[in-house]
Amino acid sequence: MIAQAERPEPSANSFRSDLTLLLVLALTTVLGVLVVEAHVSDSARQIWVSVILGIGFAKAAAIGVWYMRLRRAPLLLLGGFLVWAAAFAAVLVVLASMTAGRS
Amino acid sequence: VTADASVARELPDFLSDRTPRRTPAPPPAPPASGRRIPGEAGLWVFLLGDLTLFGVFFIAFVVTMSAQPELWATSATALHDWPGMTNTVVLLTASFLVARAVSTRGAPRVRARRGLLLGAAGLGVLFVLVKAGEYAALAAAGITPGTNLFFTYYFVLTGIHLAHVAIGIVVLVVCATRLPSATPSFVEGSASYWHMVDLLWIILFPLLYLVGRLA
Repeated sequence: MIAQAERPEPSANSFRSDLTLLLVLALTTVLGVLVVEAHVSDSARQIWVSVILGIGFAKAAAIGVWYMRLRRAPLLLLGGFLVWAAAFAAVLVVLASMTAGRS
Repeated sequence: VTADASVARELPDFLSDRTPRRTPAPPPAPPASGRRIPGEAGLWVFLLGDLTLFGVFFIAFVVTMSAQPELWATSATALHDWPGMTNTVVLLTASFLVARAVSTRGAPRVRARRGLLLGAAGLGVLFVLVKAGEYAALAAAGITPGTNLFFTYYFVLTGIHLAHVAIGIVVLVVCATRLPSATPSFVEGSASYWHMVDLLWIILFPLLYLVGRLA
């Protein structure tokens, strides 16, 4: 009997999901740059810093969970990775948003 | 002859001239939970350690930014978005190819997997070339790691990341050349390392190019 983890995903499905993730990540990268260019002299820069960094870490988590196949890893490893992403995202967002707009 | 054969059968293997029976080790039983570690478990100690080290660098960068927001805002405008954005898309595409190489299984697909891994390595080389062009443009503008603290961070962080990319390219090429004899664990481990390199750049790009500008 083949364990669920070792059962390969249907090739067409995994191709579609990998490609969708690539397109979403690339699109959000371009949108992030456009947002910063539009709001560089904005009074709401603190919010945009939080948004940009939050999206950055969400993209990093998506790469880990999907491309690195951590969604099928033991919960300790998956949890450790997600805690890493959440903890550093929280610290950086708080620190950077406190600084943004002060200059 | 019959008596000799009978005696030989009763002797332990190391005293008789019988070849010890070698039964192949049974394949490891899959975990009951159906979950398993991609690649070697030990590799993940290194990967999570490396990610944490970079995380500390990111915090140091932002703490220093909070002390000198004007310097960060003016310095970050000297960086052009296009090389950074291009490199982001290049690494994401390389990660996609590597993910496909891991998903594509079976002996008849060795050439396809090799092509995917070498394609990803080629995109890694493109990343290095774009980064080298960016460094050259900054140097031509008189900007070096000694210009100010922002650029010290910029060159150190991107330089360490570039070294990771270079190692990743070598790992992917070795992995591609070892197919089909490379173990699934080796292929998954190589892929995980490459994805970590991509993941780090996904955070480095907004931090260095975008956040500083909003300081």
